[in-house]
Amino acid sequence: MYRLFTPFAWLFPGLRRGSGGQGVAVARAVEVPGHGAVVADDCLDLSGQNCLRTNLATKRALDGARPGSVIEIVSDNLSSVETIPFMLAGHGCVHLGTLHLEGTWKIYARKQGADEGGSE
Amino acid sequence: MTEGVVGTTEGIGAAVSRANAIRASAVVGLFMLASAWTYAIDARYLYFSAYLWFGFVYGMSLQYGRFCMASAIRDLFAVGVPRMAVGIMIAVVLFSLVSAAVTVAGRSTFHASPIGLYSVAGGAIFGFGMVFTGGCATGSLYKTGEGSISALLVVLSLSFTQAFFVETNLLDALVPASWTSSAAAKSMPAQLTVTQGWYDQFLAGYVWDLKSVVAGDALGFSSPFAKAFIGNSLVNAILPAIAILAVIYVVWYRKGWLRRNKDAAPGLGREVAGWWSMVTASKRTAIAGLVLGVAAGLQMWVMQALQQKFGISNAGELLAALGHTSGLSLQDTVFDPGYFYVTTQEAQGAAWVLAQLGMNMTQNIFFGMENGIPSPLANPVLWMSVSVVGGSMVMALLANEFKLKMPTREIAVWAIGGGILMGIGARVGLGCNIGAFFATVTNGDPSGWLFGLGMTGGGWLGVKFFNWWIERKMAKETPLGF
Repeated sequence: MYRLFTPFAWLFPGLRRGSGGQGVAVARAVEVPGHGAVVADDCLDLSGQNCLRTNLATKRALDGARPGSVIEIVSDNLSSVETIPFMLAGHGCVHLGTLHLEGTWKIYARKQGADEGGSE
Repeated sequence: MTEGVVGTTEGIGAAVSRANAIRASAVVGLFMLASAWTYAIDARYLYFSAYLWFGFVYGMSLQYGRFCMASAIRDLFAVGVPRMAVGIMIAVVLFSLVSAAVTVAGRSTFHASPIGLYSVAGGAIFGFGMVFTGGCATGSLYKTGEGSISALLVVLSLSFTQAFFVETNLLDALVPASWTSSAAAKSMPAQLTVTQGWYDQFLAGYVWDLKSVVAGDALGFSSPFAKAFIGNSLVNAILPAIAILAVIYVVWYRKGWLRRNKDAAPGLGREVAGWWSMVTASKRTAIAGLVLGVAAGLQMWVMQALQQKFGISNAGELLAALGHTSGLSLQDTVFDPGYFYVTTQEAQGAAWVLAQLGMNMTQNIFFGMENGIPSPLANPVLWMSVSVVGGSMVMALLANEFKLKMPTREIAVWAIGGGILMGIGARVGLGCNIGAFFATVTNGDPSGWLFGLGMTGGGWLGVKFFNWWIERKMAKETPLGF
């Protein structure tokens, strides 16, 4: 279906070919206010995705995360950036912080262990 | 390696980049220039400016609160987050109270829609489509202001679909015979061919035969105060909103609240605290809901006051007096609701473009008889849509949140396809999430809840389908690394 766009791609050079599917960024240390230096164990780059896909991919990632791990979710979708922190508790995660960088946001969540009530 | 940090979302007001501040000032300056210049030409252009600046306030509020009805339904059903649904109910309650005050003061410009199942059908089609686009009609406008090109595609798709839909004869085979005979029996102008075209026959042969009523009248109140505040506001808006919030609390919020507040003493106090926690959970959304609710009500007051000041009942009279005589309807009217509305003026904009390309867009009831197709520069309600984008852009720039985002091909297809469904749904439902839901339920019109019911059902179905689609796609993609 998307091949229909190919003849018109020269009109819209910005239309990216790919589905912009989740990229995996290299884990690195980040200074999160209130929590000091945090190393994100798992990184999920959802830049360019629409709201629903961002939310569903995040939900999937949260459910699959290892207890105790820190997940970094990168998004430039403001609606999802607002919604994701509210999702976390329902998936056994706590919100560490949200960083607003140039044109993008990074949300940090830690998956709770079973002893912390992170049973979901 | 440690990254530098600009700030958290909580403290984002700290540092507006100089470039963004200049851009925001430029947008505001442009709107101020338009207002001042037109006012200098003729003071009656104040009518246009009123629409413009209310739209600007809406745009700023929508962007600040990430306010979107698609988000309300999608987030609730897909990920169990009631933030946006709560914000909308706050706005409904507040708008209804201000609308009641406006009505009691004799300043209301509202007209109820006929009550019928078409509202449910239109809402369902609209709700289904908006899940794919990622935004409702207003959501797509404010996201355009944030730099989202996919949102702009939605606006364009929705607009042109409406224009084609009201004009086309391609769906005539689907028209019931009863609609055709009912439409033919009405004394319609000869210039309109109301027995052709699905939409003309839908309006003249079906919708116009239905009754419209507001709750205050239906409940038999004679006092204007009781009619407006008890009938229209309390019964038609506030009580249903409270009931919806109660359902949201019980189904989606209470379990998590109780888990987080194990030590709270059981009883009514704990439930009230939980309910209040839900209502105030997102300050941004609550503030946006408050501003939208109050501003939407105030706009009715202001527009009616300006109509009285200029001695008009419709902007068509104003346009004629100002020399803009082309584009008026057969009744010398144009679309002029006097309150927050979205899809009809966008359809007018698209129809104007198609008319410039040589298409005859006026042989139908929607444009030819009711709304006209004025030039975009002479369409006051379209100024409001443009300024929603502008207000959102300014707010996004001031928060360093503006970013030009080109869509992927997949997202572009969803945007256009979803926009088509939204356009059809908006016309079938006689409006969108604002015109057919928000403005109606808050002014005592029960048909708004029918549209809302359809929109919620269609949205739920859309979420289910999209969920299946995304899961299928994600299962094929490269594992995420964990």
